[in-house]
Amino acid sequence: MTQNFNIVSNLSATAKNYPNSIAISSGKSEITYRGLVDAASRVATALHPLLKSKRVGILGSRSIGAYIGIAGACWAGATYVPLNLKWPAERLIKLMGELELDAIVVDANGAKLLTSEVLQAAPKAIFRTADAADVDGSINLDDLKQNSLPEPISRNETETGYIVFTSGTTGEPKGVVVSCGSLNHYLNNTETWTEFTQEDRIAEAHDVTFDLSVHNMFLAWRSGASLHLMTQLDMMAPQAFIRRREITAWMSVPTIINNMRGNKVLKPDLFPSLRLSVFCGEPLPIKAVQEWAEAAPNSVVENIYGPTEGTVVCTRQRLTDPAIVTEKRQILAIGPAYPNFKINICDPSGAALPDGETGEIVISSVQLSDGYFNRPEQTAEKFKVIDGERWYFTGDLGYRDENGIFHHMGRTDNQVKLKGNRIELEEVEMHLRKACKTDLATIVAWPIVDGSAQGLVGYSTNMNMPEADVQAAMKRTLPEYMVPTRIILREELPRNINDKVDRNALLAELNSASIAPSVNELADLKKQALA
Amino acid sequence: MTQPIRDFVSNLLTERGKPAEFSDSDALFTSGLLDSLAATELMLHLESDHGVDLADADFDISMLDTINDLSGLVSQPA
Repeated sequence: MTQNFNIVSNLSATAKNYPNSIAISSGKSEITYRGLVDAASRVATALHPLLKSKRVGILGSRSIGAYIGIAGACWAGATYVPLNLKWPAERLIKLMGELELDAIVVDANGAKLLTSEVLQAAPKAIFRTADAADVDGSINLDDLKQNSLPEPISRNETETGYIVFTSGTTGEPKGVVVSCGSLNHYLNNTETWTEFTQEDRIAEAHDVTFDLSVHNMFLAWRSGASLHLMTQLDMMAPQAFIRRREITAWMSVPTIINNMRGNKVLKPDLFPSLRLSVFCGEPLPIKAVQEWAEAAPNSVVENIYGPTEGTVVCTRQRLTDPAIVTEKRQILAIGPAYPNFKINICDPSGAALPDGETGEIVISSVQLSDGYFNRPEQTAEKFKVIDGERWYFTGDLGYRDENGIFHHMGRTDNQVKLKGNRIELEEVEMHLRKACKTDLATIVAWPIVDGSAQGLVGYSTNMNMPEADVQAAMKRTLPEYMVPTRIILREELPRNINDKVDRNALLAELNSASIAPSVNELADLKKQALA
Repeated sequence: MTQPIRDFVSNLLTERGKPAEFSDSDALFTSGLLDSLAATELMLHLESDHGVDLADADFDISMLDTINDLSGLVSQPA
């Protein structure tokens, strides 16, 4: 019998083994594994006859309904595509059109985004959770009674499991296409060190649009562990959430440790229930991670690294005593390559560099993504076949030390991480230029703390477009976290020797006292650091 | 204790150009009505004007989501 590579094939077996275990808990609601599989197979029964493109959008996050939608779409043999609740209407409309979705599943927060103009671009088949506002012609998930798909539809390893969107330099986000086979490789390699069981209580800190959510969700569904969904509010002060629910496994971007340190919450022995803490997505400062380890004395702490294009993770470094530190940056190393990865450090011509020298991190693996949805040129630019092997050029800088451990050293380009959100400055710049009505406008990430960007600052030469108008225009086309917190107007922009806008000169100005932030801005920055 | 908190939340909504009409059981943050910056302002207000200790290990931020929960939070003995 051929293996079923459907990414929820294990969920069916788990539900038979642990029918009454809690699968997902959110606020005061929870659902058992039997309940989840029952709901998913009913959604799948309704979805299956509708499938043409085999893509189903999930307009929801941090809710049991969003997860039922994902499980149901997968169960039906479709690709699930999380749609970001922070996208403005214009972006939602454009991407829904491009994706040619067969259906969408919406939760209460997702339904609020279905304005009449968005509905025109949306597929006809809309499934909504019982708590979502009624939309004309939509189907309440609770009204789906028929169940004729007791097992997930069989899929092969080359079929697409999910598409996750990330920032693109062309001004539009690009969808990273991950096959069922790639995800299967990732989960097989990862469950050897996460070792989840039905006893585990996993905190889900992130939205389903962030591929870290793939790790928790599918590893939980393989093992019978319970997934505890955090709200955005919980994320701002997670201590009570972790303590009350006796969370055993934590995974988040490191920003959250810095917030807790800032609020003086992180104290020794705060989290005795944690046995596994994982950080990903940003540089992990050594002081911060050591403080976390003291707060979680029974937990191993892992730093994982990987672009979405490599299916979640390609290196892993455990916090040891003494720690393996990237000396120049005072951050934890990112570790050796995952067992099924080859990782090279390359110079700009693509030639491999010796140990100790810094260059671009280039990765090859059966786990690599298939590329970007409907973007063959961008796919060809980043995924290259060299001597018969497919390599992804990450744009990350790093070196390998004499022990085979990799160290992250920044970026080759203008990609930044803002509170874990991956942002291409060029994307923001496109929208800034439109909003300012001038091509002489640019974006810098500032300030930088511990190697991570804390905010965006825009520069424009159109003195007739005031800051507030520019920001308002940008909010119509970009999610709010990508809109600069400050727009500085000046007659002209500094140029470097190639006559390009000199971002470094602008950063130097921002860092100097000449453009010190106003009192209000300092207050805003403090608030943002907390947020 | 409820009215001062209610007024504070009304202000947060008005500042963001949103109608300041809501019931005591309406979700303020998890519904997306208010953002994380508003939550930070509310936290700072609870700390300075109501003596809520944000650094307490069991400070439950989910209690900020409705006026009902907030009333419970500020009426707890310190």
